[in-house]
Amino acid sequence: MDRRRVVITGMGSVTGFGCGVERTWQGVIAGHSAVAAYYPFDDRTQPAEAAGAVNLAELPEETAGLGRAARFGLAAGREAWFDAGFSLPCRSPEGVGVCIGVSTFPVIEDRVDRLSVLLKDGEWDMQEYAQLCRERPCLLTQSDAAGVSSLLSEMLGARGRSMTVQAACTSAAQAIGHAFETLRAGEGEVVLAGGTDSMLSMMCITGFKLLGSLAQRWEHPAQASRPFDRTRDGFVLAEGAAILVLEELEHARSRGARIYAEVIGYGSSCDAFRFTDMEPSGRGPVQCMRNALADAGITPESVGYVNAHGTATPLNDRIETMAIREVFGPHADAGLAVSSTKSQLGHLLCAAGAVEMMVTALAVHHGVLPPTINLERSDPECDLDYVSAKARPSQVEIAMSNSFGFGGQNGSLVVRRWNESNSDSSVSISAQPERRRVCITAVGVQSPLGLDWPGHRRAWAKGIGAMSATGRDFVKLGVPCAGLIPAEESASSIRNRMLRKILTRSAGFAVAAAGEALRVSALPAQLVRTAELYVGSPGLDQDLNVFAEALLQSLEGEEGHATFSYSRFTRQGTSLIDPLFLVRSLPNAGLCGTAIEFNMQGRNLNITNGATSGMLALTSAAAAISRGDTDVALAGGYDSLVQMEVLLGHLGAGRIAMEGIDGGYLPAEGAVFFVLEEMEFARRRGANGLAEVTGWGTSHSSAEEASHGLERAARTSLEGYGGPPAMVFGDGLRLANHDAMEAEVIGRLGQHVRLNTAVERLGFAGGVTGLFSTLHALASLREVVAPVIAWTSDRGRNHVAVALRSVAPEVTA
Amino acid sequence: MNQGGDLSDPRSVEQVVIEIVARSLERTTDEVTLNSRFWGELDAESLDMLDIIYALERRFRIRMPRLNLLQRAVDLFGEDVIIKGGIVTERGIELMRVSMPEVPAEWMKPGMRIYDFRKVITVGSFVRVVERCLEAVDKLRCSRCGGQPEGVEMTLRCTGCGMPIELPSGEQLLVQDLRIYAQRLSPPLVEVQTGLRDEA
Repeated sequence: MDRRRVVITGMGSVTGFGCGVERTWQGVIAGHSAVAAYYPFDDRTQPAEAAGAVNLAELPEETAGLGRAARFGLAAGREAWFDAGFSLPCRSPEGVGVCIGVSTFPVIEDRVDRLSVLLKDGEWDMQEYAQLCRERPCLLTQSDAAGVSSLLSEMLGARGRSMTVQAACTSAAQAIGHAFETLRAGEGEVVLAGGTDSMLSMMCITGFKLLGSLAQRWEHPAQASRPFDRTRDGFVLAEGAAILVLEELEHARSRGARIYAEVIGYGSSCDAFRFTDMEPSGRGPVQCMRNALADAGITPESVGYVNAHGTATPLNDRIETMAIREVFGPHADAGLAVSSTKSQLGHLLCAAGAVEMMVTALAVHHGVLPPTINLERSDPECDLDYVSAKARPSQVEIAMSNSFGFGGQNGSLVVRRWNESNSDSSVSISAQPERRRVCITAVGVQSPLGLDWPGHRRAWAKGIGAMSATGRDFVKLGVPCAGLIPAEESASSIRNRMLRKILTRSAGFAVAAAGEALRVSALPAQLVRTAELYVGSPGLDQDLNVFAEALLQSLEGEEGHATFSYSRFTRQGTSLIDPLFLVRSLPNAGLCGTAIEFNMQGRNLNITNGATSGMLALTSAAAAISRGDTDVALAGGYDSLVQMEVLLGHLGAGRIAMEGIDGGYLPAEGAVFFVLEEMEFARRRGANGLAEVTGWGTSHSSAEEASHGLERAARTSLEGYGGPPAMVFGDGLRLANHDAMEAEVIGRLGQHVRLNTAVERLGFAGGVTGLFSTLHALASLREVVAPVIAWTSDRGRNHVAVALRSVAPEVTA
Repeated sequence: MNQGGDLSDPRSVEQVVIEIVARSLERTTDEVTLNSRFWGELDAESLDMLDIIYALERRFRIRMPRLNLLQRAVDLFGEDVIIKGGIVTERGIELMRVSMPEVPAEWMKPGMRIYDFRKVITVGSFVRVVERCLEAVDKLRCSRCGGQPEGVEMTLRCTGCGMPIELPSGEQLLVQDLRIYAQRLSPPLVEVQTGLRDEA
């Protein structure tokens, strides 16, 4: 199939070396280190850690009110946009999208200006800090997971899909890979793609320290990050951002844009092994690199350079080395250069894949391979050519960038040096490849009405109420009932011991719902192993009080506690905090848990885009099948609003229905998963098609009425069908603006179209609500011929719609 | 003996450790013995180890070490002495055998790879470390008035003057012991200066 080509035409970056791509590139090439002793918050006498911290004073003043990740992302995005030669606002907003990897861990220390109560004589009052965490935990959560990508879309005035993804350390690689795939498949012209992150907070530093992931010996901070060195003993935390302008080739050429490099391949895989232990044979990274090579249509021998994940943990570097040997064979000893940029920058976590992809693209652009610094004592288990100590001039044609994350998600990107001679081989430009037909063959549900789809449907038909009584803490807040799921019963189907131990209640729902969908689909194990997995998850899913409580407890022994020593806390406090708290809070826990439980090793994508997460997972899976990437995918989402932190955010925004308040919704929770298959493939294996997914649309409302964005998504989903939809299953949140927006679009779609909503009975379950709507749309198909639309909208900014039709009888036969 | 967190508990340290390990790994106490190895035999993951250490710390009111004993030996006595080319040397094996008497000697043989070392850690190893930490807590006295410490949740306080007393670091205890054991070998191991700081 002829595909469009995608090139990098702009770059922007913020790292420990400073603001601007040039400073990072020059620092990396010179073999300098951006890692220094890090003095957080209170303790000026003793550094807490070595870290690659950003000098906040260099960032634009006007973003000072935002969190760090948002500030880095906006600065990098702006630089990239202008670097590509564009102006603001963007000229064709519908063709411009945003896809960003970002963690949703809050850096509460950033909010010092808003929480001035915490500062006493220039020192942090940790007692106040901990009390505040306990009493107002919503301050700790970024209730708005889609924040950074939305801010970037708004900065550009862009109306294409705006998406946030979260796959731990593979986040940015997934974001860039996904943006590349959608552009190549014909969706839009330009995507701002990359990652931004900061976990330099007391909570995250403590969390990583408890997990034993951080470099233990950092007397000389610049030498603390020692990838592939025999004495390596953990990674060094860092923060920052890198954002790339990915552009369809003909679009870039028609405007005479400067091209850094061409993106030619993306590979993804899942270890499906354990949460933090790497699978010993390295099969996940091997599969991931092989997928990337196959996607690019190249042989291993054509790759000249690999920018390794190279975290400097004992295990990663050994297994990555092994995996590179496995994939590249004898070529690993004959011309393949490998290096780790983490040796200089430290680990930028959710942004790592972006800054490393940027360095990889610049390496082929300039013909210089960046070095691995601090590699002085060779390890017999790490025996590749790591470009140690000094940068190496080398006209490498093709290079790869690796990312492997906690939870087992892996991503590899492949870039090719750009020159006009290979531009001649340009394939049919802007070709719209033929779409394959997609159907849903199985569903799985965990809802307040039932712990499987038949149970949910029966209860729904009987008109049984979904609301049950909440606990005392919720009653105190004025929320006496919610759409609750009996979590223990739900989790009882999970076989994996570690999953039962660490999954949050809602991530547990995901595994249970995914299990039902897979069981009903009767897919053989071999197909499940290679099937693609798309999950929409909550941005932050944990009880952050664990940390606050521990902090408070440790303060009890302190005298005066006007100031608090961080180093003392990490020295004494290890026994105060459940060391697994950070792992429990990983937003990709539902995806990785599902992969582990059902041995799913295929390509995957985890979306954390607020209320649109679940439906974006569904539409992304449908798109992948439609364009021919796979025949089978499992897609779904999970969420819970019945958690104190999350609920407080919704309460604070005045969105929860309460006595004496007009409107609003009740909080709920749940998970919904679908098995999607290519129509012909499903028919051949005798699977029962429940519905055909005939179209989908996504949009962002920047500088326009929200209803226009929603309407655009809805109309895109109906493309190819002339008339109005038979029915629409929407949000119906009983919030004035939201309801008015939906009513307007309904009115514009046709006279007889009516809006149905599941929220009225089920409550609002965040990122799963759109999937509940999709389920009920699916159940209604029997009655109608025209397509039925399900849609959801996140606060009038991000919109997604999907159109379903009943499967023609010849398919189900 | 000081039972840390719960003084009235009549069970031995051994019993309590076995119970905690069994609960964490969802096994019966019959399936867990002092000789059970965490890796391979009990099928523990690294997250289980953290979980178990955390539970032991809270139960006994101690601070467990989270160190790689072999790596610490390398730091103290030099690279090629303990490990050569990724393989534990004969001297390294000797030191580990005396440092970990609960591990059957035949499990630790010259030629072992550094990465295989953790596979010999047993439930008995945890019992030994817990007992070592409890012993150190027993000997603790207030640095100001010499009074006895008294435990409240995870902190200690002097019964005489009320001053907070820091729990002994399990990591420091093990490194201390490693030095003593090294002196008992013949010939004794000599400490070297490395550029890497011992954070504990």
